[in-house]
Amino acid sequence: MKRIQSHKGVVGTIIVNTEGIPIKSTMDNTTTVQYSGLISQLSDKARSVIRDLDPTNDLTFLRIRSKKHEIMVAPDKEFILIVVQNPID
Amino acid sequence: MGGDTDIIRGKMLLKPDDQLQLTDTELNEEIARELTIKNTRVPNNLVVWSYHRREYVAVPHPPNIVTVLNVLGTVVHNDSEEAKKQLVGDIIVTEQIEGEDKNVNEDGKEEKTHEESDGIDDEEIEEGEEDKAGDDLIEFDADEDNMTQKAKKLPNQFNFCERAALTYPIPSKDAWTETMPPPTATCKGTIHQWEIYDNYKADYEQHRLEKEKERKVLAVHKEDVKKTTLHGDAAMANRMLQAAKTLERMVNQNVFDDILQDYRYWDDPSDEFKPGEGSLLPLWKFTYEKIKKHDVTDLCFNNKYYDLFAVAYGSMKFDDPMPNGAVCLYSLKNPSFPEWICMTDSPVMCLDFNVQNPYLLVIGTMEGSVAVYNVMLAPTTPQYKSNNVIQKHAGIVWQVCWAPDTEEGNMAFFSISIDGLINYWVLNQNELGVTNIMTLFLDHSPISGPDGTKIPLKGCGTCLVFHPNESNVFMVGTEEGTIYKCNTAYSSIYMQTYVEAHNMPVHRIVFNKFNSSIFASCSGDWRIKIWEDDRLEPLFMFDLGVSISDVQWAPYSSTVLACVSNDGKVTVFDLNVNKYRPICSQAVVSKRNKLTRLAFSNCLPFVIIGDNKGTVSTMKLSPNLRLKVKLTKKQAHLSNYELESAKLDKLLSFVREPAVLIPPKDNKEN
Repeated sequence: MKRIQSHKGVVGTIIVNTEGIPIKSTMDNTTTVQYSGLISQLSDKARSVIRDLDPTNDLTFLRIRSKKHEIMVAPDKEFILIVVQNPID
Repeated sequence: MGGDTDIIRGKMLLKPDDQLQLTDTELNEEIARELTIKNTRVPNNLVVWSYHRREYVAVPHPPNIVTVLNVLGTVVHNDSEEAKKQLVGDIIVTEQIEGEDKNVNEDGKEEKTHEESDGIDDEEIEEGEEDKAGDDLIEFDADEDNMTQKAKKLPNQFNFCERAALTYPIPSKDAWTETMPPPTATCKGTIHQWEIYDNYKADYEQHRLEKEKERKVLAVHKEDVKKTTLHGDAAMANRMLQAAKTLERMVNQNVFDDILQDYRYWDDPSDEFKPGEGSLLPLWKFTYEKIKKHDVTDLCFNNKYYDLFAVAYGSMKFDDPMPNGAVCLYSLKNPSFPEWICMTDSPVMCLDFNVQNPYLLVIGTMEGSVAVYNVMLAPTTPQYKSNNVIQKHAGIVWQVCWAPDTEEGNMAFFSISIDGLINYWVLNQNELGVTNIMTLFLDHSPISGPDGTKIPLKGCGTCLVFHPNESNVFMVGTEEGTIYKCNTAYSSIYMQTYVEAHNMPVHRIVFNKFNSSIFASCSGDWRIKIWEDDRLEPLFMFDLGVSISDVQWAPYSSTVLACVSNDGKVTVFDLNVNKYRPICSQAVVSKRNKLTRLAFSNCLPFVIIGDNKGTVSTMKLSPNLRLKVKLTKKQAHLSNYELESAKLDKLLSFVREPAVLIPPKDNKEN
């Protein structure tokens, strides 16, 4: 975690549990809550899409590129790892 | 009679068809009719058979009365018995009223007869009249009654009160209780195909476990449960680590996006305009904070994962060596941090990946020990380590390389050390078994020691390379500059000795990848020499004017070789393009820094270069540096390997000629 955080352009890292409650975060409280809530919903939906297309398949990673940030999500059964990076630095 | 006339009239009106037609005279004829007091329709002399008397009995004349309507009246005649009875009863009760009004009284009697209503046949008209009169009287009587309040009287139907008693009604009562409603729950959700699939899987798994349970003894099972739970936690941590690793790589990919683009797509366009010259494009730099002051002493690519390479961190400063060393595994996918870090007690001088088992890594250290690591495990302890007392080399281990497996199937490797020993190590069940293959004795006669004993001088081995095709033939370079060709079968004699091949320590000997009889060596005497087997004179010789620490043949071309030198430059030769000069010489680091090692990637067009500041640089080779043989139509059936070999052979045929001209000289030297 520390290592990821030390990389250039990394805005923050969050670990979220299955209920969408942040466990560990390097960002401020409100942003963390917002990110964790929304991203966990999104990753659930994304997983649902993948699983619906083929039940033996599964979602491993999710990258969301936006104008300002890149949000990288590693969803698991028990946790979700979120890294927010500012790629243009 | 009237009825008959009616009928005739009606017939006249309707006039049926079959009516008798009468003439006017007939019609006008008068027919006389008589009226009698005797009813002509009543039969006389009616008789009825009497069974009792057994004879006909005359029935009396039926009356002449025809009863049309029979209504029973309620009026009693004043003189009748019943009226008298009633009057008697009435007088007793109503004495006072009698004197006052007799009419009224009589009317009252009449009323009473009404009410008694005994069946008396009378004529209808009379009754009707009496009724009318009675009604008037009743009204009057009622008024009188109300005024005088006469209580005792015969029941009067117009003022009659019935006495009755009501029992007290039992009031009805409702009683109820409320029970607690049964608990209800709303259950809803969207179901997906995959959820069904998952549930089926879980169910199947459970069934399987239950079956297994039946087989197992309980006690044994309990232990298993403990193990699996522990395993579950570990798996979770592992997954977390894996996810974090991937994310780190993603982050790195973003950070080093420009380098990545360069690596993938950028080829120096100027190469087209200057044939015979090439350039190197710097890509990533790999460093690790903790070992910045160490020298990179060896590099080795992994055979299976082309992006993975191992770096040995040791020390080249022998007057003031580092106290410790390290081995790091880097992946190109994560240039910012090593994938695997192993700190060692002694500076690491060399390493080698096993080809068959790409997870095994052997290292040699400065203090003379060797160790084998399994890079899949945590880098804390080596899987095998030479015994520090009895199995040790007496000096720096300069090179290790894996050997073919032993007959028993154990893995084995060779090591060469500065103490002049070449050892063969076998990975037994638990420990390393060591055999001395050869001791590098010099040709000098033994010199006398201080106490008069004769001590044979040993050469100091610095590099070792095995013949690519003959597994027991190997070349050894020494600090004296001599190159020996040896065989593992004969430990005491050299197959060939290249005396004074170099004037300074030989740093590296490498066999050509396409022609196994060609090898190159580099040395601290500024020179790179290219040799052919059994030929004591080098075929090529390049002098760079600076100590050369490493030389490598390119894996893609038979004529390309690259070397790194102490002035921080990488020099690339392509013998096919230019036999006398390098086609590229480029400074990678500043002049004060020395480059120590170089390695070609097995399949990608770049080299990695280690320096004495603990940095490993990646350089992409420009198109001119990786020229391959162009196919002509005749050669279309040849493989790349054959083409490259042919290219080298053609080149060598030019060089060999002068050597053949002076064979006597060679013999003398021998």
